[in-house]
Amino acid sequence: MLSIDADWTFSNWHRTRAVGGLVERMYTPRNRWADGSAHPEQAFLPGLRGLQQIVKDAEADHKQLRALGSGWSLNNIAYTDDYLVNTARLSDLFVGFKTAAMLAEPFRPRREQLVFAQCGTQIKTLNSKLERVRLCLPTSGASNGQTIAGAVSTGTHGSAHGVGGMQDFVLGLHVVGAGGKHYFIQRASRPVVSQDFCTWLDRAELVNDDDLFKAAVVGFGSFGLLHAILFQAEPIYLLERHVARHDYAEVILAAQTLDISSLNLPHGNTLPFHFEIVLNPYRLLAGEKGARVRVYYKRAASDLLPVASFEEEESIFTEDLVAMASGVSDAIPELVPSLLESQLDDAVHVTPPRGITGTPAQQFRDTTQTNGGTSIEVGFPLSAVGQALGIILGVAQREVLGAPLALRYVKASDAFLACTRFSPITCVMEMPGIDSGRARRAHQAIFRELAQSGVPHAYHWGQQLPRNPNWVVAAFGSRRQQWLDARAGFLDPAARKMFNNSIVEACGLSG
Amino acid sequence: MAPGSMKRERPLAWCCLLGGLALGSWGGSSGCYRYTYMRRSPDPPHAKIAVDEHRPASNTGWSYFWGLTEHEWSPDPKECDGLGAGRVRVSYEWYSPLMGLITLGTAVPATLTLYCTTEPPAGDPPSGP
Repeated sequence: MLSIDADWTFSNWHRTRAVGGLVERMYTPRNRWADGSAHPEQAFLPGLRGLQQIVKDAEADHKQLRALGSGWSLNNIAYTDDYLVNTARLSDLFVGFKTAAMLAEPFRPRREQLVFAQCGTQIKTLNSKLERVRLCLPTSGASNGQTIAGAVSTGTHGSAHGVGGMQDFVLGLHVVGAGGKHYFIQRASRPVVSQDFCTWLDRAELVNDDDLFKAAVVGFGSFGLLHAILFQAEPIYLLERHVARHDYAEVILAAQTLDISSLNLPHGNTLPFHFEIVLNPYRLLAGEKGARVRVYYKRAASDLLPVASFEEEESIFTEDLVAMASGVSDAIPELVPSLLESQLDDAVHVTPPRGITGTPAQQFRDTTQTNGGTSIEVGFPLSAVGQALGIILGVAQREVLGAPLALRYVKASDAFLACTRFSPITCVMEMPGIDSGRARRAHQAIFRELAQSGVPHAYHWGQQLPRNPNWVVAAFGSRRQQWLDARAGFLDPAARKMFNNSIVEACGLSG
Repeated sequence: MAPGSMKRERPLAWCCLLGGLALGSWGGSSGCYRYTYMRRSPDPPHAKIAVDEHRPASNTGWSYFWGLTEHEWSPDPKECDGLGAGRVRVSYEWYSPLMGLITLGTAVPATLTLYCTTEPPAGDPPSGP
């Protein structure tokens, strides 16, 4: 079943200004045949056929085509004004393989941990379904509303310095490309499935290719319509959270070197599973305790998992209220530092001495719509953290933009265009806040000053980024050409044009 | 015009202006009131259930005679592929307060917006081939 809405207006989940707009056609494929029935064995099949039909429609009409997940990106990476695919209803998944012959030998002993999830499956759905069978995601972002395809293909990450971003636990990609043909792409150096699986998968063409995999896994919709992802889940574990406040001067060494010995963390000087520093850029003086250090220690889970708690009622700030707050922050910047401090008290509150323990799904849980939020996120090599902090904090002092600066540390990714590309560990700096005139000026200033500084850096594909090819060339070097070559080998020129959009073109990746 | 009459007219003008502003802001803003029910996943950790944000269904209905008659909407289950609603939002229309004023509360409209859940039914996930 395929619903088509003409002249539909897209706005992203955070209602960021200047993101989205009118769309000629919005397709919603579903896992149902036209008579409303489901396929008895392969529930995904009607949805897959829907994606194939959409590609054929776009080809016939010479339109650009992009897939849309939950709309969590804070820029137009998922947007085109031609044809857009709402993948939300494609949320079928299975956990574990019954037939060993469908897997490559090394994965047969782990076949109960392999997960095949359709593109529209949200992280929260994966969390709850995996927790039922005592599995969990190896890592995720800080929240749970993204779709698996959207999160992976933009390079979403947490702060797992030993794991990497979400794309780094993916083993295979099922993609609908030119002509509606579909492919299962996996690494030649680490094959997971056999031809038998691809035959079961409606006769998908099996492609074993390291470069194509490393290009398409962070491909932000540029390699076709991503139908499903295969990954290996982990046996369930617990995370013990600790948050403590420090002066900026006390955390600066750890921020640059990951030497945490001066932080008096509760379990010694071994770097925890997740290490993160959240700064209030306007509370950096001695005694102001403007740095919050948030860590998670990985713990074995017992038979009984902790019971989740949640608020049954809450008030959400509407777009109008956020717009007013944005206007106030533009007009009276003196108010911003203390407002930001009170927000941080709520969002990153200090924990009791024994910490707070929960499953990953309990720790990285629901967040509310910001109704006007924006963010910038940039990856740096560890050696450049000091210079990067100087530039970003300098801009934040000049343009009081009402956003904290969070530093997260992620194992380097071999995905060609991942913002976490710097080896061995990338420090990712993020400034999530309200969209305001000052925020937009600050973002532009950061783009400009980082480009002029020569500091190696790479922007996150789902957040505010410079719309020019220069930063892509500087950030990714030969990896950019490898991405372009892999794409050119997989898609013919007409198909590449179909799967382009304005950001891909502006960033010099449309060729 | 005698000076005394100016003094009497000024407070009246201010009252009219303030009254107009109050009425205008009440009429303009009360059309924005919204109330939302969010279903939680039946599976632990009971997160707010996944929904399709992009394709909600909506229906505007009227309640009459100060709420003595109620509007009910029961859409086709095919709308949500048999999985049901994950979020239901009730919101006043911009003209709801105006209609309430004109009809002395005998006819007030509100809009129901339904977001389909996309989470598979409760229970263990299916295993693969």
